[in-house]
Amino acid sequence: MNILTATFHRLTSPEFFYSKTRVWVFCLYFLGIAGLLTGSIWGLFFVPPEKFQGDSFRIMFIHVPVAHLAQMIYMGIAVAGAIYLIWRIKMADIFMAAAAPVGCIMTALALISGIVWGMPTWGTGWVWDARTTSVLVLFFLFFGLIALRQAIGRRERAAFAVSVLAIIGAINIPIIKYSVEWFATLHQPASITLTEQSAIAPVFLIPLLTNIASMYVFAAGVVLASMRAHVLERHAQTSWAQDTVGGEEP
Amino acid sequence: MDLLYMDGHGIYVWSIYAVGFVLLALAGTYPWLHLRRVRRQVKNDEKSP
Repeated sequence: MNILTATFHRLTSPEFFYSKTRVWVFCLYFLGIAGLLTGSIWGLFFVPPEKFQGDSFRIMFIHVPVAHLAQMIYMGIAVAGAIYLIWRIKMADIFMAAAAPVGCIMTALALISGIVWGMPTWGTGWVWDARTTSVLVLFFLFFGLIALRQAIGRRERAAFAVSVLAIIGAINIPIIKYSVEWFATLHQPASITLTEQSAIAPVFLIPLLTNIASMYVFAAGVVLASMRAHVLERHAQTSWAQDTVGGEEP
Repeated sequence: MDLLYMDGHGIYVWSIYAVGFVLLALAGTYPWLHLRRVRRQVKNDEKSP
């Protein structure tokens, strides 16, 4: 067994996870916040106005990172749901519980920023086209994952139901991605792809990529911090939890 | 003033950065409040017989 596999196996132990991830959380928060400040200040103050959209395009430095991240968080939850259903790994359920509120907030911010950007650019805040509607469905899916967990008393049943909903809801992710190609929408096609050269000039692209990467790092820190709280909550009666909390600084 | 006004787009841009800051701050703060509540609960459990 190599060191990566061994570390992965050890991270599924609640005690090991709780004790070892504290430093990671601090590092991820620090790097994420520093990166977001850098990218946002760069985008707001040091990038020229865009030729057609003027200054309103600066909303993209918030909108694109959160919209991208929201979809990735949902995919992560769906994969965790599958892992829980197949192997019954409790950390997968804890990940789902921690990540759903973060995904919900990211989707809400993507929707709000899209609406506000649309006002000066499209002349309307909302249209019921395929992209905007499928992102609204994503918001309701995140909300559903949170509500379903709250509504079911028994933890195992809640985890099972949330996993099933997460997997079924994953069908929405390719719909969001390809909605701009499959349907006639107001929303423009993807400007950044892995296979083709970016349609965005480097002067805009670099701060945008800075914010995308930083938003991922920050969200990883938030999810990890939330997972630590869930781990401790579920093991509050165990001796390791009481020893650990007793020995921690107030 | 130009920086605030942004040719009439300032209200849209600054409002989104404000809302974004508030929502990200909420997302970043909540896990710490949750953890603090749980730690207090664990400490109380430890004290009770």
